[in-house]
Amino acid sequence: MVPVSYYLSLSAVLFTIGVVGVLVKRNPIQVFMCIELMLNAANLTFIALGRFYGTSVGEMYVIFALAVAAAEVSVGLGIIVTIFRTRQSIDLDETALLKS
Amino acid sequence: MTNFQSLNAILPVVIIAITGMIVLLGESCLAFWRRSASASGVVSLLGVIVAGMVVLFRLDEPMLHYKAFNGALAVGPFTQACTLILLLVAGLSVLVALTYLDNRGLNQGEYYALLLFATCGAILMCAANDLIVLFVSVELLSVALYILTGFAKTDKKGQEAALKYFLLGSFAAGFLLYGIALVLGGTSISGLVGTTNLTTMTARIPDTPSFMFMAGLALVLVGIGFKAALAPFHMWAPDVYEGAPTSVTGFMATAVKIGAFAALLRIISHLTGIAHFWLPALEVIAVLTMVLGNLLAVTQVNVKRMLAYSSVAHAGYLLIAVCACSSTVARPEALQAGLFYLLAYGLMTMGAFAVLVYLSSRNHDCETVQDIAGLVKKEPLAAYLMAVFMLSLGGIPPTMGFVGKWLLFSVAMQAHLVVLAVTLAIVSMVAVFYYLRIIWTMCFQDRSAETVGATSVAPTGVQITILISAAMSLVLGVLPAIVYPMLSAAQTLVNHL
Amino acid sequence: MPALILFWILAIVCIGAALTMVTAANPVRSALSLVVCFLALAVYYVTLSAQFIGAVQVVVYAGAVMVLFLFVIMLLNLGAPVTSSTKGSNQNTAAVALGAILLLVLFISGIFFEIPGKAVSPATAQAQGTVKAVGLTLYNPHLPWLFPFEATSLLLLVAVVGAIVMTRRQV
Repeated sequence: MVPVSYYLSLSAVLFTIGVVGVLVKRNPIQVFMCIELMLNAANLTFIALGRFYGTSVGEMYVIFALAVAAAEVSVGLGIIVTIFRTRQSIDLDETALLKS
Repeated sequence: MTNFQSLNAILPVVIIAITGMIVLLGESCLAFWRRSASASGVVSLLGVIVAGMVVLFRLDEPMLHYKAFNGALAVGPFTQACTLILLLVAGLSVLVALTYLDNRGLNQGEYYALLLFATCGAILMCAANDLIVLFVSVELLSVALYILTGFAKTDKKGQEAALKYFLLGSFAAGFLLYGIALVLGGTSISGLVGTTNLTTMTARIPDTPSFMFMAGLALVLVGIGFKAALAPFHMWAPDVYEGAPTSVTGFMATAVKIGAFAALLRIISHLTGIAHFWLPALEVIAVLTMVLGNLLAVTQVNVKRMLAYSSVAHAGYLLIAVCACSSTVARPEALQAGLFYLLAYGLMTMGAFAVLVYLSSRNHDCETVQDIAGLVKKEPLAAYLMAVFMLSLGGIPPTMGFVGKWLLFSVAMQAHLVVLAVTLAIVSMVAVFYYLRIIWTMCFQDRSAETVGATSVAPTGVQITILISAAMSLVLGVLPAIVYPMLSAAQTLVNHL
Repeated sequence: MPALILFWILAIVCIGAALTMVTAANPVRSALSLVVCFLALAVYYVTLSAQFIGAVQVVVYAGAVMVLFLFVIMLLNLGAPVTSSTKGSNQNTAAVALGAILLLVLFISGIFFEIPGKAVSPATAQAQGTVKAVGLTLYNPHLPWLFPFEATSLLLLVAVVGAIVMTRRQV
């Protein structure tokens, strides 16, 4: 059996890729994809931890995370569609109205 | 407790959620409901009042000292106190919205339903005794707020604010979830899977917790820090506060802070055993938040932006209460001071935003300093009440803000957090400057010709809000002892937190 | 040993897909790489004998969520890459530096983690990932999972209302 630390390290790598992606990407849709990757990295940790104790606890966390992710996707893409309707672009760095 | 008893223990949340669903159904099925401009608002207000009554009448029930749903929720006096504060804020927000939505032509019942669901989320954040429940309730609050921020669909600024809030909020949720995952791993002991239940967690943590646990805790704090707009995770706040509809900004500034700080106080109170690990980090964040929030607020010309930075500064003050929880001696007083300051902050911030709503007309949102110039001549009462909120935010007696700051200062001294106490004293001086500048503008600066200066068309709701907030800020500033019994009930039962 | 080889193959696929997603300028390419990454994760779940979550991963994430993403990209015609897909180089450097620190911290917390006590046998673990076992845990009246489940239903209601409110044309 593969040791649990392998899974934890893999999810650490995926989570970091997600975080860096959020910080460097400009397209809101791609930023949002990176956030999805972060949530998935957490899910892998939950399942790996739960499995090595022979319980279903890990699954519980994943189910809640999944529902939250689904809710976020529907609302987030709704916001992106509305923005596109009003300004025909979703690149916020170019058309920013809110600036300090 | 059986599940039925548990459900009974969180009756206020159930009432609020059902009211939200009634509003949705009424709006979609009943023609007379849809025609009436205020039906949804009035029903929502009734729901909030009933829920508030339920909390008030059951304060002494012994049932409410336990955990509900097998440890998922804590329904003790601390939760009850937070629930009352949140219901007050929600009720005031509904009143503000009654005016604002009419004004902007946004009259849709969904607004009230989402506001009520967000309130449910905030109350559950205060009650969450398990990190995963905290995660779900944070998201319930946030998702509802993302929609409310972008509620004015033709307003480009509002849309942009909604997208920014959404992206940063989800980013924070990612940190929170990964933090929870690491806590689950870090609390595992031989033969037993880890736990995210705060009560069980406390018993499991050794004196030197594992690296994994500490990393998880740090990520959880980052996640909550984003939501509470603590420096250096505050950069979204000014943009979002400015872009969101003013009535939403008022609710966002108060409810999210109350929920986040209640959750933070609860988590931290369960970790006093390892205080030497997290206290230095939190102290640095507190100082940074206080200093940055106040310094950046000085230069703002947009009142909403200025209030956004000031809310960052207030988050820094509230962190003092959180830090003081590290000392077992000061903890009861720290919880009391934290709750009192949350109430004070909620009232004065809500009041200030309500004045802005009152001064907005259909085509023009009152936002900039120029919009309130010379206000004292045109709307003397509004100007005086705005002055009350500004003085209260600045912490000048005889207002609630002063009492709150005084309580925070004394718990900081009691817990030997001298650096924090000194910083609080110094930045308060800076804060007085920009709050007084608003008052000065209202009194002595002349209105430029082009600002129309019209007020709302149906101002009853917002007028009531302004009067209630101002009256409570003043009365509780003079006689803070009125709410002490309730708050001290929250702190005597620290074990049942 | 075969399990370890499978782990490494999947790890390469997974990390490769994630990196492609971040570096791709074209959102469609990003979305498709993310689908690959999610599918690799689903295989991991199955090898960890979490069959139910593995299936849900394919149906919800790789299916519903990513189809929605692609649908929005196509609908808004965002397939063409923007002039520069990332922010300025200074910010990129800062982000990568921050990421390196984060990775170090998380890696240390993960790589040295060992299960205290003895891990359970694969046979016991096998029984815990079925729909039946998951359902029995989720709805167990003596466990705390029932409440967050109920709260989730409220969250989904908010999401439904929100999606309609956001995308409905102004009346």
